[in-house]
Amino acid sequence: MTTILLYGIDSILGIKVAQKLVDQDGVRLIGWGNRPPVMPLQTVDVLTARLSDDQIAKLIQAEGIDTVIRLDPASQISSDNDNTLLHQPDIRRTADAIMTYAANGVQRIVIHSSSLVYGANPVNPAFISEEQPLPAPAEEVSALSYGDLESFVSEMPDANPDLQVVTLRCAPLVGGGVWSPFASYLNQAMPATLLGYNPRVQVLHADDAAQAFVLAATSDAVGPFNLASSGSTTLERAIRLVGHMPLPLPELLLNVGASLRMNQKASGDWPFDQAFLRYACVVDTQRAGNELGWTAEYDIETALHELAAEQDAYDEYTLAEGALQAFLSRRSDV
Amino acid sequence: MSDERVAREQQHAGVPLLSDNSHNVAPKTQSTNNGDAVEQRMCAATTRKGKPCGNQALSGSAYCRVHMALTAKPQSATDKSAAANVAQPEQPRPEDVDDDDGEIAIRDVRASANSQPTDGGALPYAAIGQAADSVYEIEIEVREHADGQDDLAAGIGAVAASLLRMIGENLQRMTPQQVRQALDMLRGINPRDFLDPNFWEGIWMVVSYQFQEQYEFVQRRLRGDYPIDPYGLDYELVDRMRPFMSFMYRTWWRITTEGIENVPEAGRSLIVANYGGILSWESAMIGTAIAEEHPSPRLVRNLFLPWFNALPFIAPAMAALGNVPGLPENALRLLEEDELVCVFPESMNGIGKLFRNRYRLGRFGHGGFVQTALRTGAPLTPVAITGSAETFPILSNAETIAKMLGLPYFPVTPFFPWLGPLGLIPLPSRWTITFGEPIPTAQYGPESADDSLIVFMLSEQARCAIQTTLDAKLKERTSVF
Repeated sequence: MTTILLYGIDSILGIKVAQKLVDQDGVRLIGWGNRPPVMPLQTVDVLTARLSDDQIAKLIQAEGIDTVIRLDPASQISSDNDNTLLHQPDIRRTADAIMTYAANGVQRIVIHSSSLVYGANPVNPAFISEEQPLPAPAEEVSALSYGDLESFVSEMPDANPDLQVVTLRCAPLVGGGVWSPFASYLNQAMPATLLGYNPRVQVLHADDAAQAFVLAATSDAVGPFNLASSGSTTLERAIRLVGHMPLPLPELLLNVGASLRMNQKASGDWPFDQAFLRYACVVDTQRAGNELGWTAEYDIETALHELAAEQDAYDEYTLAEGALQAFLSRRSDV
Repeated sequence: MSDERVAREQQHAGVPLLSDNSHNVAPKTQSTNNGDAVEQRMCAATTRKGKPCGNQALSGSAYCRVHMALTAKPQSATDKSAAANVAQPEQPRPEDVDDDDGEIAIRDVRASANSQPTDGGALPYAAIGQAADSVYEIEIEVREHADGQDDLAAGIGAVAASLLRMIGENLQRMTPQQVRQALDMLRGINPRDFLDPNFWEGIWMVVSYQFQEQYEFVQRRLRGDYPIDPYGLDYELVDRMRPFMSFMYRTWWRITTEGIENVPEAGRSLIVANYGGILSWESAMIGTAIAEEHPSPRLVRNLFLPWFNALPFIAPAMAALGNVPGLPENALRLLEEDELVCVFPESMNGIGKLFRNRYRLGRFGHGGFVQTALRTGAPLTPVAITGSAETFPILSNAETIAKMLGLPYFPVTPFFPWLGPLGLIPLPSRWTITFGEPIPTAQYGPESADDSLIVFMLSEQARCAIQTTLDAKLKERTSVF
């Protein structure tokens, strides 16, 4: 029997991972989140609390936890927040929590990272493999904050030889009601693009991401894995597939808009490094297929069409409201 | 060919059926401005209505522009190079031509136009050109018939001919499936009956169909409902660029292609070619040569300098047309996917080569392309291109300006930068593209990619093959233009 602690059960991705994990034989699942889950979960023990490091240690020892899945803190914040500012402390807290896990006998840690960690530059291969060295983390760029985390995580096995660390580098999440910075960008009426550039992009459907976390938690594979929907497309086409019009702006205007903090009105909302509007960062998912046995069920077109259909469904408040109404109506039926 | 089969071909194909009428067409004479009578040879073909074609024959040919394209027969390699100077959409296959009794049947272009894109996404370009020529033939018939009518009928005929011309031009921007649909609509049109409402009904159906297709094309683009491959290749854009590329290939540079049989119909192969000009027109023309001349057209994946990825507008355009940044990882992956990859190993030394050094191959880098070929077992196909160095004669490289602009080089030609963007229009030199014998690499094994001696040997073998062919072709060349 493997006991898995799933941090991030208060996110939609967390719910999806939990729903898949409870079906696994030999798995006991404990959900943990800072807030209650947005949907009712049966047969899962859920802890809602902001735990300090010593409390985390107490939880691990008391429950005999073998494996921890640590979902991306970005999937737990709403689109109304300033992602860049909120991201930094969460990444730091994640690093602290990972140290606590390792120190208290956890054997396997699955960490949610981003495929954008490779950065966007003109000499990127058409499909970036896991072997490509990561660029030095930049300041105040949310995507590259993952770089800090990955740099920290990569050194963990040296200090803890028995610890297995799996890093899932997910392409921007779309579909399945999950909120992500990229989904938020695509959901604008006229997302700003950089005039003269049309880089290739990838996305990952939330259901495929959830399946990958389950496989990563229950297999023996270790190391980084790239995850993305099958296929890639251009940024302009991705925007059009969601049903919106790209707004190509000269770089100068984009920079002025950014410096004036006029993201929404003047230059659009692109909650990631501006380099991703210029150059491609497309990953190769062969290793995940070979070693995790993972394959994407959704291609990029299907995932983007689903995003177009749900539009506002990434708003957790809306989802929570729907869940609440469903819950209340069920009690009244009884 | 029997009469019955001819009639059946004509009925099902909906395309003209020609017969050789050289025996019943007397040379016409035409007076020049100074009163001298000059013998004017008329086209020897007969239209599908059995009338002799009224067009002038091309110089050195018994046929006019339209019929020359339709009746060209397979020729020897030597003859073919000469014939390539004439508009020649596709060589009919032996089974499609039966001239035992003096008749020449044109194969069903609709069947060819209906074929699916090949493995690499290449389309049967030649079949579409042939379909357009079929429409041009009807246009010519309408014009001929209208000439003998009264003013009103002649005017109507001229309008009908103009519409047919427009239809033919639009065909070249359509997909094979759309071409087939349009040809189906044209089936049964009698060019002599342009005063018949049925004639106009057929024309109107095709014109409205083409307008509708254009409208839907725009709508599809706005919805993002168009196919893109994982490398960013935009199939529709490639189709749209086809007529322009064909114009540059056949009309602007009058390119003669030799050794096309050395390009495999399927499977991996690494084409190694020489650079000549500022812009990478060579890669585009190699792709066009294979699309237009090869019996099994396939898409060529040209590897371009990653530096181009930083250039606005150019970077997305190159990716959309199927080009891929020239990185070892990309080349390896493409070859493992059995693609036809084209590389220019001279790299920056080749693309910015001064005019005085033209056709003198520079160093082939460190042999990275050979290592990729060895790792994948792909044969090297050396390609020598002459004529491209004269398109942009680079007199000097203004290094100071290049550094200021952050460019790897800044070419100074007789026209650039003096004429601004107009100076980037390439000169219409005459090109030859010669595909050499493939150099196999599979026998060395993937491990030999780390053997510098084998890598150097194969690199030099490819380089010598290209240089030798270049020298030979330059000796044969009588004029740059």
